[in-house]
Amino acid sequence: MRVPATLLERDLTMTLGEREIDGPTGDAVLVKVEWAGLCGSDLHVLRSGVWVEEWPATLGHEVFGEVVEAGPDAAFAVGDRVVLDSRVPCLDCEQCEKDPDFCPNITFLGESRPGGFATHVLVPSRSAHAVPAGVQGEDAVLAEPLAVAFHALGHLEGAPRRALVLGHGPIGALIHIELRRRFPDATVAVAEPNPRRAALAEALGATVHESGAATGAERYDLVVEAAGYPNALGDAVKAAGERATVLAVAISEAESRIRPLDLVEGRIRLIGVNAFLTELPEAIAAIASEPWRYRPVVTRAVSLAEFPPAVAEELRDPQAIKLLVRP
Amino acid sequence: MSQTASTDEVTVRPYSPGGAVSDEPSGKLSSNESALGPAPAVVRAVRDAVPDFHHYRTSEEFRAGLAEDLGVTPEQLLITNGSDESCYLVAFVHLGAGATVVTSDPPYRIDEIVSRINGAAVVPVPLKDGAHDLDRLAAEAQDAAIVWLPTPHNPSGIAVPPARLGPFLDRVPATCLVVLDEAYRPFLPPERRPDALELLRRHPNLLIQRSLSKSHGLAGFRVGYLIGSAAQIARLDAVRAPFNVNAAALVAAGAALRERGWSDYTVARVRDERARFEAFLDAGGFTYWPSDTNFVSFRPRDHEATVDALAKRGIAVRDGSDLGLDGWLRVTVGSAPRMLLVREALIEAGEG
Repeated sequence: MRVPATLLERDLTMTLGEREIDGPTGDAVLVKVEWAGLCGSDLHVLRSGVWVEEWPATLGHEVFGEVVEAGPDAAFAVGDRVVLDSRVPCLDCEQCEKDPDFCPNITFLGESRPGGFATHVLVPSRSAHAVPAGVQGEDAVLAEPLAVAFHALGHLEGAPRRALVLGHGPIGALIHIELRRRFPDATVAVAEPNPRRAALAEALGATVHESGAATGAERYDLVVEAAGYPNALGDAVKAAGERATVLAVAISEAESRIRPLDLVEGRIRLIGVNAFLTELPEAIAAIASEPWRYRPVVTRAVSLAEFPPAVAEELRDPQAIKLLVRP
Repeated sequence: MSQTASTDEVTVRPYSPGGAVSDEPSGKLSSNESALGPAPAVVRAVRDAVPDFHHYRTSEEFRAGLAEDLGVTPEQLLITNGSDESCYLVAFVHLGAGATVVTSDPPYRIDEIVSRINGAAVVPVPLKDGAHDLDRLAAEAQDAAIVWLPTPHNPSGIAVPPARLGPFLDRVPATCLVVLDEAYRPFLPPERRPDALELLRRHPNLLIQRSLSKSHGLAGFRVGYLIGSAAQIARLDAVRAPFNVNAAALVAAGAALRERGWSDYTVARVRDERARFEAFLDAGGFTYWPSDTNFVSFRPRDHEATVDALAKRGIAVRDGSDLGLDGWLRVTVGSAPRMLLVREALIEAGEG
């Protein structure tokens, strides 16, 4: 069937068009997309074209929707409400035979196959997770980025007392919200120059600095680098105290300068965090339990027709924290 | 007029709260509630305080803190069970059979109800393009006991320009109370918020009502307050119930006042979504009142189709007929996703 979809061309222009989607066979399900979220990594693809395997691409890997057709072996029935797992393991390697969560050839929905910035998306049953009744779709769609936040904080070995988050975009903000939920007695500082994003950080109770390079003399036992500006990781390590954990979360190709001596003498744990492993169901459960915690990150919602110009605005001058589209 | 309740002497159309079309509260855009709710720190404070709730709690501590924040003395403040309670108290103390009050038409419904319950005659002064007609309100106030003046007004959403309040108060006799209801004050840009305390210094017949329901997301807790002269406040304080604001509400209100960033963020989100919605109404050629609140009142072309299209999306709005605005709808500015659904419903109803 042909469905309305955003099409990203090789020249990195995105327009509204149509694309052909097969009906579901085997265990596949056809999902009518109700809400999809724009991710920082989508913006990275929109600027660079990296990771796309087939052009034109339909991006979108944060997806909530309803199953409207199910293959004969599908684990879901028509009418089931689901969020999608963004990860696409190759299912063809030794690791995938043991546990596809750790597939070394992993790709992502929207890049290796058509994603959720369209009215419909076709996925295998293993890529869908049921959403409990009563949970609003616009809340559930936050499960994928929240799983990233869960995965990042899963690397902690104890309760932080003083945390610093560089960057208060969607992932930085969700990590901040999770820090508050899990460690209510910790103090959190945030470095964020964008006033709208800084306002949410303040609303959640953080001390806000305009720049990650000027966070003062305080040293933190947790630093989350979710900004990705040039030398952000250098700033993160400088702000880290003795035996601190530094989590590198931002998807960035900008270089940072780190003095190995700072890592060594400070006995700092520097950990790169990519996507998530098994945390998606936990994230869905957390949203189902306390949706109000996560709602403040959604600052704009648009129709599919409004989406390409809204994304162009975000590329020029990021204003939203989380932008949702309703195809 | 759907139903009436009568006592021996008074007939009052009872207040009907905003409805919902599903169990999901985020679709309830009928009561001007906050889309974001209370600050997470408020939730935590209330949860932590539950084991202490077998004790009575007075509002003294909260009142002292609020007085310091506002720059008034505690004796100038009365903490009330929502600003509705202050309407009831003011009417109870100052009205009786034979008294007259002045409201705009349509009025804020509670002002009208408490006046009639207490036996007063209500003189309605029609709004002019959604704004209070201050000249006529002042003229009608000459023999009245109270002028009820919500600004920004509900249901129009329009505020009195601050520079016009002083001259208005100069024209109202000192024997007539002016109740300036500022429930929606936080949604005004700071430069258009009246210097209410300065007005109070010059006009002891002024009472200022405020609420933590809207910008602080505490509607269900019912916390409001009155600012007035110490003498006015003492008269009202003498007749209130001893523990008129409950312990949970006092804990929530105390925590909410410490979370200024949260109310600022709540207001900023409302202003963003309100601007998007009003731009949509402009593009569609709708009649509406540009709002300084967390709601917008507009006139749909096909009332029934619009209400149906909204209901299909789980969204309830306030029917204008509840508010004295037949043919209009009043929609609370909800979350970004909910407001997208509102626009979608209006387009489906052939409106956009």
